[in-house]
Amino acid sequence: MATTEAWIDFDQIRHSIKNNTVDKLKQILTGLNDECGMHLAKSGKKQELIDRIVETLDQSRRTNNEDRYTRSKAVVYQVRNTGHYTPSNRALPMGMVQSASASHASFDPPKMNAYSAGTSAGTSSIAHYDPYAPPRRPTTVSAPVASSSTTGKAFPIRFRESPFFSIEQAVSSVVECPESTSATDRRSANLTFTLTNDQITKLKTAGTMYQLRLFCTSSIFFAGISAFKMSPMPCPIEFPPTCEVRINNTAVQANLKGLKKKPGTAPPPDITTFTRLSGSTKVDMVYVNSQQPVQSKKFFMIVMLVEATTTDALVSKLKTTNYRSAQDIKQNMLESLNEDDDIIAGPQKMSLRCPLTFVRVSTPCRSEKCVHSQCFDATSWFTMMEQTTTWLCPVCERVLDHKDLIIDGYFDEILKATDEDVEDVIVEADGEWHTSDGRYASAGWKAAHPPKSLSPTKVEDTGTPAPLANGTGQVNGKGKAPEVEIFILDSDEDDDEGRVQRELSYASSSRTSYDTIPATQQSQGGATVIDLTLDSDEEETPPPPVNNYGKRKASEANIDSVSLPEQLWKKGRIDSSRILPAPRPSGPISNGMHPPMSNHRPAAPLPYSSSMQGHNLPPVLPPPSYGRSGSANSQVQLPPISSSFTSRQSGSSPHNTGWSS
Amino acid sequence: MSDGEQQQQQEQKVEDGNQTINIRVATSNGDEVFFKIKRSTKLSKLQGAYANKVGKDVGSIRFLYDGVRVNEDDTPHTLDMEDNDTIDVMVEQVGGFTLQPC
Repeated sequence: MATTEAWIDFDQIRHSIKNNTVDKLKQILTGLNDECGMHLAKSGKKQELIDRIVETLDQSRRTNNEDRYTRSKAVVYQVRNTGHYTPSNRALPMGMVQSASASHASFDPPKMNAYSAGTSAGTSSIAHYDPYAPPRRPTTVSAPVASSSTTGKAFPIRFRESPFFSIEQAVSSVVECPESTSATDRRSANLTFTLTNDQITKLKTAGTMYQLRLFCTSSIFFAGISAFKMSPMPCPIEFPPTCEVRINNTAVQANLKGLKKKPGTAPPPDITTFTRLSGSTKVDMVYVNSQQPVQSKKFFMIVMLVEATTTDALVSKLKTTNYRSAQDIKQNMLESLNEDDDIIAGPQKMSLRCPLTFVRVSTPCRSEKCVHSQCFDATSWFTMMEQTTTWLCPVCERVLDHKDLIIDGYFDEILKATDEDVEDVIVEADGEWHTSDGRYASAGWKAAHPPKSLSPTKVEDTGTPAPLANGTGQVNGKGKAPEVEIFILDSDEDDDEGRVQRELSYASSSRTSYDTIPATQQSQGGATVIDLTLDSDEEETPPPPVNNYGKRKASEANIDSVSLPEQLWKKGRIDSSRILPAPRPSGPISNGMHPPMSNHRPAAPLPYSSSMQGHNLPPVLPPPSYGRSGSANSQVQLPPISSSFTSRQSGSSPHNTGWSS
Repeated sequence: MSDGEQQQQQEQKVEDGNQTINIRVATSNGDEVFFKIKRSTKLSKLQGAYANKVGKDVGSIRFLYDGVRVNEDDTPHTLDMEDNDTIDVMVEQVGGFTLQPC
């Protein structure tokens, strides 16, 4: 019967999970990990978090693990009611957990201590879920709470290990810092400690690196002084978001915060120099809870005696103990080859510079678990990690365990084989390597690639149609024009190219017109800039349409310039009708057809030679353009320059008679 | 002329789904990895292989070809890729994601 009762709310709980925010879900996961000794990841998408929790519940149900279910339930309720999970079961609203632990050997009463009685939120709403609670609570509460003064030997708090120090012993007791409720709620906590002779001796011993460090973690990670069970995970260092630490009234300047919202990213500050060797030392911490959203948590502070290790020592130790030979690494590379026949990994560029410092690597290092061959510099990495203890691999961004670090012999070999100024090498999938210019290479690669062949990268095929390139190239060589035109005919898709070409043709055409223009007129060329308006002026006096096509064509017809590509022409057509002040009849006429005639001698059908029109503008304005651009311009007299300009315009709008037919 | 020939060749390539092409996967900081892949193979496979090779989570990076994100089902064929084309790799932004040790 009890069994059914315990599961009575199973579905309800199970379905309520999804109503939690991600934040709460993470809290629940933390709780489950803590309470049920699980190892659920707290990262991922919301649905993944939900699934993970629900799966845990289902699992409890399947295995009829009532105990675990009860505890999970407690966590869920706690998070739902208080918004966060407070480790150490003492904060749990009702007796559920205690009752559960009572039936579970590994859980013991001590966790219930004096202040837990104060946390009452939600008690009433949940009480009915636990039929056992009331009778048992007294026993738990009455349990002795003896451990709070633990110092020395066994560490009261297990902190995350760091290669930079090993904890020798606790020097002070753990001090609990009450939660601050807001950014204005200023709290303080202090602890006093006196060093023992033994500790003083250690600190004074030359050649060793004993230090006193101030550790602090929060209730998120540490269950509480009196919690019976150690939290399953070692605690990261976490100081209150805004705090000031004074030791014997001297402020500690060290960075206590680390990265925002990332506990464990700052090392515990070294307070040795502030400490009085004889007499007691007082540590004060003043703090407010500036975190948004406010997450109330307690903090636990303790001073420990540690033996520190320098970066250099770590690196040299790494060199001697964790050196992997080049052969080993190459072997691994070969093994990882050809796992899939659909896709074959090719060469890879590897930088010889450290991703952290951008300086050439001197001690190539990476984690054994890293799959990439790219290394970073061990000294740089350790130096960085000493200050910001994220332990992230600079290459793949994974959290590394310093015990997995290796010195990469393969990388080392490349470093030794290449000159200082070589910045990167290309590593083939089979482990052979070479520089992109082929100056340096592994023996195997050299053998396989006699001098001439270099990197596998070919000249890039940009996909640009060849003709365009030619077209642009043609600018300076008028003689090539015909060829250009041919190309252009078959490719007219690219706008940009077209524009470029237009410009180019402008250049060429203007040049050509200059050719034909008398020197005096050329002097006026300085006015080129004016062009557009001049252009439109010119329109009033355009040559009469030459051909038989429609009006529009007629207007276009006049144009040309030496190298009027058809592509342009198409564009030009649009331009002329929309953007440009319409067709310019005046341009050197129609040589599109006869590009080679650089001097603009008119082709047979064309009435005007460019030089002619340079001076005076002839008559007829093609009807369509007239209305638009012609407007009130003075006709006549356009500086020759303009004529050249026009020719360009016409270049863009183009189409000459010849072509059109 | 020679241009026309080239185009023809390309068309042939497109038709031949089993032909392999080289694809260069490049990050913004200059690292690059080359892969040889069949034109008919899904690029998701290449993404996986790349992620494996550089030790990143596939979900944490995004792949762009010609500035457009590569979808799971795309193949070099559907994207009309050519030999030695480049796929760019960018970091995937995940809002508010925090790496929490657990």
